[in-house]
Amino acid sequence: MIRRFGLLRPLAALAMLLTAGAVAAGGAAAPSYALDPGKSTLAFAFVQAGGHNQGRFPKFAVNFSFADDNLAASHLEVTVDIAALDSGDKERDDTLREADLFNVAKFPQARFTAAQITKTGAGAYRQDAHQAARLRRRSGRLEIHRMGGQ
Amino acid sequence: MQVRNTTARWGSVAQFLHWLIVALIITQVILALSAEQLHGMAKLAMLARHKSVGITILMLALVRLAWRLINPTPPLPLTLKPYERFLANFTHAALYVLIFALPITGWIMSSARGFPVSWFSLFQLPDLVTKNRPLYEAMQETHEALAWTLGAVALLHLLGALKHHFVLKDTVLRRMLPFSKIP
Repeated sequence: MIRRFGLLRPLAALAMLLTAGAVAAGGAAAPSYALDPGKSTLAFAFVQAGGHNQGRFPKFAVNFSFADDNLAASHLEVTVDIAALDSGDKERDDTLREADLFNVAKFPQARFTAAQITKTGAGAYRQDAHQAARLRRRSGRLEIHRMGGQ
Repeated sequence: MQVRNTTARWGSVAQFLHWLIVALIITQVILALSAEQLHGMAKLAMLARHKSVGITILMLALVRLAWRLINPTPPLPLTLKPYERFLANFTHAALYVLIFALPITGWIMSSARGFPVSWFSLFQLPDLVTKNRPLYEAMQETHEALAWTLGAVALLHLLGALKHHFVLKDTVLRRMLPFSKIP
């Protein structure tokens, strides 16, 4: 999630631990993975009046199907509960939720979806993505690095 | 007017630092009171200005103290009564302590709250302490108490200067004024 608004310039990073789930019935070639919420983090960083700050989105859901040999059928979707954001300070969290920033009263969720995953190297992939949050749609790219053995 | 101090009057550097810090302290009061009326992004922006000006005062205080130590200090008139001499020395010492203590308590307060301090968005200063809510609350109260103390001591300082000029009719006020003639 990359947003630019006034003095706030947030950037987000997602670290997920995913475990392979059952292959969907019907013989789809890309197995779906389940998120381990306790071991996954969706963090954001922002600059406010020259000060660098960090926070987390503790509530998010991931819909991820992936097969190295079938990237066309692979797919990632992340849905973020923006209202649950946590920057470590209640007053600052309330400010981030206000109408001129995340406007959670009107847009409580952000969704990151993508259709095309491209292999960029051994264990590295790029996903051309777009993100719908608030009124605007953004296009972006997500770098994916595969860690672990499975 | 000379750049350096003489035994008769303050030089231009000492005067410039004195009056610049006066102007910045008044600015700080306005910024702090304005921030209290605001909320959300506008409040954060106003507090960021307050912190930037506060760090400026801290840097100027360091320059000012160094300049004072390597310059002659115009002495107080020998005709002062002991209590007047004590009050003058006490208020000057207190003002020096306060122009350091206010920015430093403000900086600790920000760090303890988890809000980094930056200087006019040009560079970010290191956090003085790790995040600590009780320390933040203690520092907030200290910062506010010191601000009131500065107001009281500055008033005493002003009254002293006026007494020197209008009652004692000496040069103590004029020697800190840039365009005054001292015989």
